[in-house]
Amino acid sequence: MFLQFFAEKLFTINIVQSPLMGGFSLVPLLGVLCMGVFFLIFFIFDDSVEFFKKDVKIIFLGIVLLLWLPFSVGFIWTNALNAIKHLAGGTVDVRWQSLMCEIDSNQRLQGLLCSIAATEQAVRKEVSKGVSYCLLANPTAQLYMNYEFYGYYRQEDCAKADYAFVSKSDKKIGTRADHLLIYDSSGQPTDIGRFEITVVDEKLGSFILKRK
Amino acid sequence: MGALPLLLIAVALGWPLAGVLFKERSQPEKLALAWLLGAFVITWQLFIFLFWLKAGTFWWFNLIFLAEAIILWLFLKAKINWRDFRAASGAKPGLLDKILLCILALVIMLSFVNACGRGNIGWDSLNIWSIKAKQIYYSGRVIFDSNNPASWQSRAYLQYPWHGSLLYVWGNELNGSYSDAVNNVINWFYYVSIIILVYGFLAIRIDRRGAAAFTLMLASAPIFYFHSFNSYSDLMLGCYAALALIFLWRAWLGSKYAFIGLSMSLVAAYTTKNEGIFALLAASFFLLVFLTRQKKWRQLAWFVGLTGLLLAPWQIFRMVNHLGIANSTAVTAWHWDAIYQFWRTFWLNASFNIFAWVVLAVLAFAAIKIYADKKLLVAWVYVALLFSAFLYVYISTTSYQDAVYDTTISRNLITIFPALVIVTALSWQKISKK
Repeated sequence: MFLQFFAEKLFTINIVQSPLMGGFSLVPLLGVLCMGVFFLIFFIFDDSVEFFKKDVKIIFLGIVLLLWLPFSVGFIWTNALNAIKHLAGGTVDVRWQSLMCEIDSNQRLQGLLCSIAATEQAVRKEVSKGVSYCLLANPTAQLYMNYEFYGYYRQEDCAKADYAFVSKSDKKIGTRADHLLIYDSSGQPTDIGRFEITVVDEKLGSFILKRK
Repeated sequence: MGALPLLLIAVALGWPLAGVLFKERSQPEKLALAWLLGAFVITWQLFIFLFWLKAGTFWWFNLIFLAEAIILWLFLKAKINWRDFRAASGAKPGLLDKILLCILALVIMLSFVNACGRGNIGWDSLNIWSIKAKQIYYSGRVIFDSNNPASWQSRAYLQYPWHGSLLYVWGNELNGSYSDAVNNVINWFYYVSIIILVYGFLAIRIDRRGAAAFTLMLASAPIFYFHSFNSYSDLMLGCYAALALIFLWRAWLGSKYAFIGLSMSLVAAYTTKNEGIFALLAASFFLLVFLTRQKKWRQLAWFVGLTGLLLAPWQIFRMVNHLGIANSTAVTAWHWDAIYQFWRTFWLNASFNIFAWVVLAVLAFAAIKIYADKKLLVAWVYVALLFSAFLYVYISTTSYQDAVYDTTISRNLITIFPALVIVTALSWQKISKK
């Protein structure tokens, strides 16, 4: 509880380089405390106190580490716990990845790019397990993703794909009941089968659909 | 494990150099240095192959690297000697030292877990360094046709150097497929290397406990830790800037070949990020003054010649393609409010934990002794110059906007952080009541 409080309420906020996500930081308080305590030890107490007969610089180091470790270890542990959960889970949780991006981001565009990266990673892991995707992303997403999918996730693959990754705003995509349609350049639709929505990524403005 | 072949090739290339430059140092320090120098040697050549010779990303480049490694091993008579870290006192580590080192090891391990478990989801990682690597990896070469969406001119940040991205390209080539984790783990190698080098440097000059404590602070400062598993280039630059300080120090102590290591680390810094020019100018100035005063003309000529030679491929490419060095343009008014943003980022925010306050305390209690120690004083001036250069950029250019929104200052300070930890630890050693 203690570590989590420090890590979540204080540190994960300020690490993100983001005043928009702001928040109260204990650092100045701890910094002044660190300097103040050492100042007292250095100037007020004399060597008549047994404890302070030790080398003052070691005492200084002790004070610093006592204040330092709860914060840093808390931050590092919380951070690692997410990664361990993620690795142990075996599957990619797009929402978790997006959440990690939230922490990194302070601009809408950055959030969007993070979301693309997270989705791409999710798709790539699934693909490595033999799941096939029909990738029909919007231009922004394609700009960042198409190098990974160069050549082998074209529209003609979509009729046999297990999943479809599509943009909300893409004019080439349509639906009829639960069927997914792709329009070619002349406006003719191709029905690629029945799909259901599994993930909605609001930031990216896209869906991941699973074949029924 | 995808980045392991890259590590092996880089270390094979760097080990003979590390044997000469770090002759008396421990095995782990040589290994860390071998990675830092070997990685630079690889990307320096890749830049020539891919950008100047316009070659593809051919697998047989590895044979060239290995042949070079063999020649270097034979020519420099490199060997492996199993020497452990040496401490100034010669004493074995005590219980407290071991506890601190155990925490340090845990932090490093957890960083590795993160490196393996995350995509490239940071802004600059995704938008600059990794995407550039991806373009080359999937195209199999650098595309020079500017109409091609995957050409090197297609992205913004054209003036950014290529060290990080080329390292990612080669890591992924050796991995056999593109993986975000490879990029992250490459940064983790840098993180571990600088931890080893800082610990080794301090253990011999202060004591094991102080060295372990300050190295732990370096490793666990939140933003430094965060960058250890994200493929940005700031941590790489920080490693080379600190390595330059280590070589500068060794030059002052009379190490005959320190200028070679300094030259390589400074050019590596410059080819990692444009901000590396601050380290290049500051450290070169101090070395040139030192060599001139010592009348070591031969070393001076070698340093200038080697630095010029190493700089040439990137610098000439930069000039030919009219690539500026600045990331921002000058503004007509000075933005003094950037100073407050620096203060807020370093002293009030939590990115560096309480390290900025530790620096203040150490300066307050050891200022007179620092002033009396000329080497340490110059090391502080080196760090202060880097800090001032960033401050100047934020005050006088459009970068002040990034200062106001605090998007880049904390990352820029990573550049200075390892060197700052070194000088703070050396100064801490001087605190006493006498």
